[in-house]
Amino acid sequence: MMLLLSLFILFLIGLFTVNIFWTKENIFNHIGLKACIAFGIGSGITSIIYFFQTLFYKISITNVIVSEIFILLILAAILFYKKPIFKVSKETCKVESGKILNIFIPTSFYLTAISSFLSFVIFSLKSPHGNWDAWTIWNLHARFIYRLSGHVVDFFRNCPDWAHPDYPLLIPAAISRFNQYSGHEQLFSAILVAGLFAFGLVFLLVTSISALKTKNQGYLAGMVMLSTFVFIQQAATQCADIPIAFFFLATLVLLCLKDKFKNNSLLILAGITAGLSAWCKNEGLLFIISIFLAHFAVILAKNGFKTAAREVLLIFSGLFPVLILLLYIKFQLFPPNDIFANRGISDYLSKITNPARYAEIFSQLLINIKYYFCRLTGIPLLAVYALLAGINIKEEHKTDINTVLITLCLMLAGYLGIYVITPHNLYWHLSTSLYRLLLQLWPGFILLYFMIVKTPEENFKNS
Amino acid sequence: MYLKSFLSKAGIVTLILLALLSNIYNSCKMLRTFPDFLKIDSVTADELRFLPLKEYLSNTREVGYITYTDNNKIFSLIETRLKDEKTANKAIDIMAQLVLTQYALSPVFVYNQTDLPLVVGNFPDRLPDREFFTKKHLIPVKTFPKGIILLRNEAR
Repeated sequence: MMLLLSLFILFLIGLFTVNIFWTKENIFNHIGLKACIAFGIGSGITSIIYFFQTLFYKISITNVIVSEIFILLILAAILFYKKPIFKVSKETCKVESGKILNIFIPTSFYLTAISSFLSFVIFSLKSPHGNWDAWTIWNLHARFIYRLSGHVVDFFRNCPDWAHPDYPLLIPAAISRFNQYSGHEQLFSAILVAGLFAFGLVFLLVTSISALKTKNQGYLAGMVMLSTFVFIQQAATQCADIPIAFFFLATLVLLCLKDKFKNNSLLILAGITAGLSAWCKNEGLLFIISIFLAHFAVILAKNGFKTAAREVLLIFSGLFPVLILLLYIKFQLFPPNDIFANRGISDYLSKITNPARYAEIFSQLLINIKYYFCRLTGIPLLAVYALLAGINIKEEHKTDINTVLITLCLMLAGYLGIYVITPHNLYWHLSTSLYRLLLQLWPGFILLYFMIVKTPEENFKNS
Repeated sequence: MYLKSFLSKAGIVTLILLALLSNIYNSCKMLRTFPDFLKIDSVTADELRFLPLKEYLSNTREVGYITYTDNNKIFSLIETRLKDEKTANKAIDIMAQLVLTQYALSPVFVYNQTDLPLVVGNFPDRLPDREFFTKKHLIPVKTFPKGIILLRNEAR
């Protein structure tokens, strides 16, 4: 019961935040899409509120509920002041042609979703603590936050280095918050967080592509995501890779929706989700840089410097509050990151100028792509499908496609660059993390792919 | 024209069927492991091993750690044994034992060293001789079931 209440409050905080910025729109328009983004933003905001309370005093369930309801009331007041909330929507979703299509594709998607959910449940039953990284890092941090409530600073000062006390805390704080609502520690909290982000990501993909292209195209994207080799397994490991993929996708989607809805406020929301990605995992910092560069470059080429600078500033305004919190934690609490700590320029230079490292990285990149993403339902199927279905890049989507493409390329380049300078054994570092980094970018790639290929509706209309 | 239309429809059907079938296949493969997935997993089993010690250490802030392997080799072993799966797995097991000890005993901090006033000995296979501990100036304080021992550092 209390867990349901915690979910409800989290969702409302997210939904109100989304609707404050999703102006010119009724609260119920695109409710599915808003709900997915709201869930992510709500998780991020509530985890920040919860974590900061644990720094200062021993937290109780009353503290948590009162502080969250206080935030909720502020958000509700802003929302109520800004626009009428419960006006009945006039906009209805377009019903596409082809009755069989409209039954066959959604039914297949929901069957895939049910089957994936079943797999997720079985994986979670087999490994309720998640995998190695989950109990070494994320769930261990959650335990420290919950058990050291009021003295969490001790965790940053004394936690052994191998437990990576410098890692961001969205997931541990979210798990700990659910435990607080339950009144005790339980494994289900971590499973719930993992499941919500995994299936939230899939539904975000479905609803966003439905809004940008067509409903059936959205369902196809969801099916491809669900049938990606290791997606469900990785989600059930309870690591932060799928949650960060959710925030990457949410940011990219909001940038794309900005053009569709002609609503610059969505850039502020994109800033918030980009900031939350950095609160989720360190890779989020690279994502923030990538998204700024990509969006600035694309808008600069299209509309000139003034518009590009204004839009980047809007993203920054959403990012700013999260960034301030992050910088405070990074500089005041977190110990230095293992990749950059105590290293001189000569160490970096010796690695950057070593061609053997590049060869090993590219060889591992190809091996990982082949093993994880070239399975039955991976890249080969997508290539064949694109050939059969055809490609249709609409003028209105060109800016979005360029932004997503450049962001993904910058991210990949950044990831590979980190491997070049890593102080760890390169083979070990690549073999234990590269596939997870690729999986973080995969939903963005699927978004890009389904914005480019023709929709089922277009193909059936032509026949 | 007809061929193009046919091919595009075939593409949609192929995509859907392959995605659906691969998912259902995976679920069935997972279901076949029943009732294995209802058994207690290794992490929970390890947590249960440490439960009596955890209760005993309820007022302790930090402890050291000792096992069969030298402390300075616990993390370095993995990097030297990476390419041989068998030895790599053994090295991972040694590392995992330390990590699981920390996971089970948190919020007590477990350090990979023996020069702290209290040291946790983790010997799941068999407890070593007393000599093993005296060489390191460690005196047994309390022995717990399943290869766990709490030691006091004589030098501290």
